[in-house]
Amino acid sequence: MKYIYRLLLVSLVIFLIISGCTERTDPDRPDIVIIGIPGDADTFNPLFATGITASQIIDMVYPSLVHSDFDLEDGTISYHPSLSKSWEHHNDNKHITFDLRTDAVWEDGTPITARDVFVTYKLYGNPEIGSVRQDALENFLKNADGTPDIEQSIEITDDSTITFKFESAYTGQLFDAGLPILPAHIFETIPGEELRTHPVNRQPVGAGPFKLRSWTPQQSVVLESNDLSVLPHPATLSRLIFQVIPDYQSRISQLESGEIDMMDDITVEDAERMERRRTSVNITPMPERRYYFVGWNNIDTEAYADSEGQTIQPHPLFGDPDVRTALTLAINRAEMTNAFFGDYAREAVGPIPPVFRWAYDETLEPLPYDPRRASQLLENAGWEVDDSGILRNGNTRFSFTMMIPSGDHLRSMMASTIQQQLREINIEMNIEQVEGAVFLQNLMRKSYDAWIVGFMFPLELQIDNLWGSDFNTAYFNFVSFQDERVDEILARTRVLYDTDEAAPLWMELQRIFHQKQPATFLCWVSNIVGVHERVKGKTVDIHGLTHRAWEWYTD
Amino acid sequence: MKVFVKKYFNFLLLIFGLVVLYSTLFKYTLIKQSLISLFFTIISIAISPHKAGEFWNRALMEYWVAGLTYLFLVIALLVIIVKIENLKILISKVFTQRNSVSGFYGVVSFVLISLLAPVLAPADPYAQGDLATTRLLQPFTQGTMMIRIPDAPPGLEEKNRIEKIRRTANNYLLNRITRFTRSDEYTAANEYHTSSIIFILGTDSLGRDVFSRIIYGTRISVGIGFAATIAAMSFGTFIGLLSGFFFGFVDKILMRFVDLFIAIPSLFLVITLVAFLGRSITVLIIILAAAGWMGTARLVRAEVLKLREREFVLSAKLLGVSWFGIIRSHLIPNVLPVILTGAILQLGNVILAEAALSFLGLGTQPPIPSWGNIIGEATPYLRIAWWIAIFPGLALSLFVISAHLIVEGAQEKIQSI
Amino acid sequence: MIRLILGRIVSSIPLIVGLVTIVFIIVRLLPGDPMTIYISPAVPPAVAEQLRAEFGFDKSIIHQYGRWIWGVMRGELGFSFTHQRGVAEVITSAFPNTLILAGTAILFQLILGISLGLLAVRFHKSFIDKIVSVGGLIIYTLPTFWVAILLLYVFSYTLGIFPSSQMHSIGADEFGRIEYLLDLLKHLILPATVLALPGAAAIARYLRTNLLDVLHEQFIINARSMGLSERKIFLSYALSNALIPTITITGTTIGILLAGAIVTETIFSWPGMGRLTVSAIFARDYPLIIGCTLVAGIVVIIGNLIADIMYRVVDPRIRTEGL
Repeated sequence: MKYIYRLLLVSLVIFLIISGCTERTDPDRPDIVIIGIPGDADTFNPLFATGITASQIIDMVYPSLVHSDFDLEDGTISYHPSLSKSWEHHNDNKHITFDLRTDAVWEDGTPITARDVFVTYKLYGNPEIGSVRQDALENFLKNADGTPDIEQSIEITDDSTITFKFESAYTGQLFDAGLPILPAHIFETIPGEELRTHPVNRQPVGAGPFKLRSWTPQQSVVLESNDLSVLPHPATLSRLIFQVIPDYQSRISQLESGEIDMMDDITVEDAERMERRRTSVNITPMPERRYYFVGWNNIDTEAYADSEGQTIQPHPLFGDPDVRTALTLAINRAEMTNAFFGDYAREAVGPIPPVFRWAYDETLEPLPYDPRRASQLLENAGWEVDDSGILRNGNTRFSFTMMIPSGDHLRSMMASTIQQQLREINIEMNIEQVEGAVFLQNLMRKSYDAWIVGFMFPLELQIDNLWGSDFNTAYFNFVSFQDERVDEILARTRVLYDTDEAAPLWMELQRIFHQKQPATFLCWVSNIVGVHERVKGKTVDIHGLTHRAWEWYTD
Repeated sequence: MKVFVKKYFNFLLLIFGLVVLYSTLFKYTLIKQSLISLFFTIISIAISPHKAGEFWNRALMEYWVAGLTYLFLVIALLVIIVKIENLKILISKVFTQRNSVSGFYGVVSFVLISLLAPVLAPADPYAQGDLATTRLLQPFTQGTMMIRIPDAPPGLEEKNRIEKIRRTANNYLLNRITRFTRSDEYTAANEYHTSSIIFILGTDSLGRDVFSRIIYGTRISVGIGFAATIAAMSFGTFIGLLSGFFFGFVDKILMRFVDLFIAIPSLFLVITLVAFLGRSITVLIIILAAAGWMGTARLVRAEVLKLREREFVLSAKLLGVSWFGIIRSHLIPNVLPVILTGAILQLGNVILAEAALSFLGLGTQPPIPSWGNIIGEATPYLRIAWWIAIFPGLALSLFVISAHLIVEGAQEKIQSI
Repeated sequence: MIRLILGRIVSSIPLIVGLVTIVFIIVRLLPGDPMTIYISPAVPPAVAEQLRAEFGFDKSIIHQYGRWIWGVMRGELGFSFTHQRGVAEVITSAFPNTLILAGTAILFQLILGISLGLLAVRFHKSFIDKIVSVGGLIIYTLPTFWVAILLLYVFSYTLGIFPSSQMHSIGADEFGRIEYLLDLLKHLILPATVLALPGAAAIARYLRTNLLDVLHEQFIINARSMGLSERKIFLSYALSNALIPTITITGTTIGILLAGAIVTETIFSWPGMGRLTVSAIFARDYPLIIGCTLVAGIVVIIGNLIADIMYRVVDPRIRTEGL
């Protein structure tokens, strides 16, 4: 039997050795910053990249004509030269001519010219390639079949002068002209059908402050400073590492132990815990861009589906603005916001985010939590409690299903809370979780009655595709809200470059939303970012984590 | 052996007694209203059977079942006290092993808990607290429970007496609204009946009582387990019998089919199907059954093949007894013990599978309190609130251990036959 | 033996084809178009149709199936949307990780199971014996995912001894060889233990009962009377007889573990087949789902085959007839 003891002894020793290797708590890696991310990048080809990480890396690796910054003081976006030295608007603001830098080169030394821009936009606009960024070309000049006509829209004068021609004048032109630019000398040689699989998607040749050093799928992406870059200069850090750590709990432990230097999407519980403990991690909220709202379908879903989108009539439950107001009154938004997000969110009033200071109506108060007034409104609208304890109006029972995508803990908690609160005013609400793709598909088809969505607001104040009346262009108008005055305002503000002129219109729009309550807006949520104190520079920006990463440095 | 049965039996009796005592003391109104509702519903149906559909309500079912189980327990206690010895002897005949006796008592307790859930749980499993003061409370924290019983539905005066009583009882059962709080301001702002409650196992991220959720969760988890097991066993037995009797071509095809299902990793099959078919409890039951019938089919087939060569089957065949007759009188009695043992093991496995699925977010939908769901919803809070995840896991383990204990004993018995 | 193996491989081909066909049909017939997620809603409908055509989603399911089978024959498993790489490439990068985890788990399972089983026999009817037989049953029945989060809570969050997820620490590429291996081992311990526990419990319990039975059999008593040393009897007679169930249990777990321990890999974020499968399902990455099923099916069949062969090697009395 001796060998058994021997075996046990050996295992014990192994165990001790392993547990003896302690974690390195003090990070010793000058000029290197590690960011913990939940999911890997999909591709480094801007034609197809959809993930946040991939987009962040693309923005740092590939050049673009302009670079944007968001001014939090007045809530406006401003554009700076990047690949372009300067630009000017002409022809009633429909055309923009860019003057390009002549000293910018690709990683392989080839100079960047206007041709690169032209070829890139041709790729974005080519319907056969099906780029995910195709919608940025919506306002370019069009071919007869509705596809963007790049030959007409983009005109090269010489190697360093290029003109963009838009169908109409609008405020988001520079945003659309600021897409990442690809190296023409590489992409021209790739046949269209190989674009999705070509190795260059994994080994990008860029010109930005960083370049890709290595990519280990599902593990890490390592960027390094691009010495040749003049856009605006080689990164100060020698390396920037994106480490894939799918499990949130692990990411948080590694941030606290110093194994990674930053991460975002920290829960309010952890944020508060870390602030109490005064760790070496700085907790900063990124200003509110994310928002949640409960959508009530304003139109009758069945009639809409039966007539293949022809019949539009009010929804039997939610068609009445008074009923929707009652629902908002019965949902305790302040309590939910406070419980789930603490100080890192604010109760929402309407569809405009508070970061657009000039357009946001501070005077508008959110509706109070008042179930009694809600009951009163419903009674006035003809709803009475029936035998089973549920409201009834003629043959219609006030009973519906709230849809949420599966796997979203926050929305699941919100739905449960709303279910309980509506039950108190005698409304029956069921909850159904569906898989993400099915959820989106059915929202687009307008086949759900009620749901909770979470959106990221773009930094351009544009809500045409969210709240416009034409369902073909307003493909995100899931609640099927239609209002003539809102359409007018949206059309006017699109071309108003002066914020002072546009502001009153936006205020009016918010009051319309407040009255009609097409949806119950819950809250604007900050993205909570944790950054190790050794990382210096502007680490938190409303654009995203890595907006100015080339300026970062370490102690 | 008898001594052992006796010891545990008395223990079980004690628990039964406590359950009855607790529910009579604390849940008297609930039980009374449940029984009234049941009684008058039956009368109403008897008077006008054509309107039976109107009286049916799934939410009421759970109260009726609880009321009935309570009645049954009371009667059973009385009977047992009178005829205690006979029952013990019966149990000791069925379960000849110590382990299976305790396992059996374990499973029985869980079934009882699930039937009596509305009576045993201190509160509604969906009831939330006010989010400011009742989230993530530690076990044994005290709080205030607020109950609102809404006014009687309108138009009651015009109805006859039976209707009136039935509706009042139903109103009590269905339309009570429960909330928790720990702040006096909150209690003052709402016109509710208040009483004090101790959150024995703490509260979860929405201020719901974990103990109540686990008790209701027993019903969801054990219910799904039983349904899926019965479905799987029936289908497996059918295929096994078919394959064993019509050996040759049919057998070959069927067994290939069985092999095919075995080759698919079962959790994988389940996950794929759930992700695409949706997450209703019915779908879950069908899917869990589809992933678990193969073992039974093989077992039954092997038994049939063995038996069909035995003398009594051969002689029956010679005597001209039909296949059906042979199946009924010879095979089923012989195969049944094997199937039952398999079924109990399967029960444990199915419940584990359901929990794992819910944990991954593919099982029953939140906020339905199945054990797996409670654990799944608790994982984001593991660091700050360990109690939410630990206790449902314990319940789950206890149930599965009970099932395995029954089989441990039963297998030894079968081997000795 | 070789004939047996070849026969088994040939007979499992229709099985694998059937498996893949079923999964293919399930995945393609169910609601939700895979392209919805990958095409921006702003893309004109005509263009979206064209893209669907490019991936063959507009054709009948039979056509799609034919197209896929034709691809498999040429060694192509299709293109994964979420990873933007070939399915075969994605799977080859995940499979070795599962192999490492499964291998370690089996090793743990054998070491733990056999040593505990032997200890229980050595100290028969003692405290240790009770723990092994009762504790074994309890551990065998505990829900895997619950054990996993318990271990995480205790060893990772509270004590901080072991890392809670992943395979390597950050920057492990630059470690020395030994440091690298130790780092890997440290990451392996929790998930491998979780996977090994039920198997180890089963082995310990079976070994214990079997060994106790064998030690009382006639040939052992004969050997004793012939004056052989206890040690020799134990090692050469009793143990070899008692090890058969151990091998069977191990054989069956090989297949299961290699197909990817879905729950454990998910909880510990282990970049193997199990997590790959789950993420493919959640992202509706159809080609990847089918690819993963194919691999899982093949692996399970191979695992069963290995179990069979080992069984025969240990116990030549079992005839190969009828297989």
